[in-house]
Amino acid sequence: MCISKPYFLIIVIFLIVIGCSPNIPKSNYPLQMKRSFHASFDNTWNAVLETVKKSEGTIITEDKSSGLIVYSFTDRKSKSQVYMNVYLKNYPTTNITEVYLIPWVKTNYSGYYLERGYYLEIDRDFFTLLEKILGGE
Amino acid sequence: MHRKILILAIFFIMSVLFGCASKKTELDQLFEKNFKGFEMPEVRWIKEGVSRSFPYVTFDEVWDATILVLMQRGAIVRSSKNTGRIVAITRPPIVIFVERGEVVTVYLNCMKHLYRRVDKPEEVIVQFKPNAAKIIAEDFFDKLATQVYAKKKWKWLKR
Repeated sequence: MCISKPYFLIIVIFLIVIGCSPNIPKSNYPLQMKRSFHASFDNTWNAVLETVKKSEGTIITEDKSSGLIVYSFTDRKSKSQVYMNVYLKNYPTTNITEVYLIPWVKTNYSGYYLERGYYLEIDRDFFTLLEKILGGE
Repeated sequence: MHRKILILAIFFIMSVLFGCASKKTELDQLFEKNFKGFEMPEVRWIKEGVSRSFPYVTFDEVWDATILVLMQRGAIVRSSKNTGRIVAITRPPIVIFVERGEVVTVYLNCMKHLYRRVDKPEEVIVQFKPNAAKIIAEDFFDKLATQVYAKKKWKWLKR
């Protein structure tokens, strides 16, 4: 079986293009787990701390200059330990503060420790409470 | 006969007990204490890891992007914008140092030592390939670059 010249050329060009295609990093960014609040950074920061308190959470780290609060709590249903990364992005000119939330759940798999899981429920509970606290001010 | 059975039973119980002996690691201990008392590694040690420079952006932009990328990889347990250091519990746990300067440089080092057994520090329960740190760092830096430059690269299109 013989391949005609034009087809042969197309195959060669196709292989070169595929072979030379750049290695583009896979990314899920930009992050979608966020809500915007019409509130100042300070008010939102205090409301997040209040949310942690009401959820009976323990602060692991907080860095106001970065807008980061990380806390943990025990999920009542699953009895799992949940770690909440909360990041506040400040937009002072518009008086809007964006709140990003990424929860992690402690596992028992040796060496892995944390996995992303059932965060829709955690996400809903967190933002419901935060909205309530912010709205009550 | 009974004696033999008794010896066998004792042997069985002993092997079960020793087999199930807790292999608690330094990381297990940190989780138990909710990371209380955990201190961030020194900058000098972090700099022994892998680095990448991020030109045409400010320290604040790189720092904010670092937080966004890290929080998607694991729980952040320490953060200090002042010192430019941040620790996240990923597999393995990693520490980042963002260095201020005309060109911002980010350093990453893996804290594989947290997988050491508490009772036998010479034994590490999770092993990684020798080039693991490089692979983890390259993947992290690629994502960080995507996050940092996402709004920058196409600025000229708005004109």
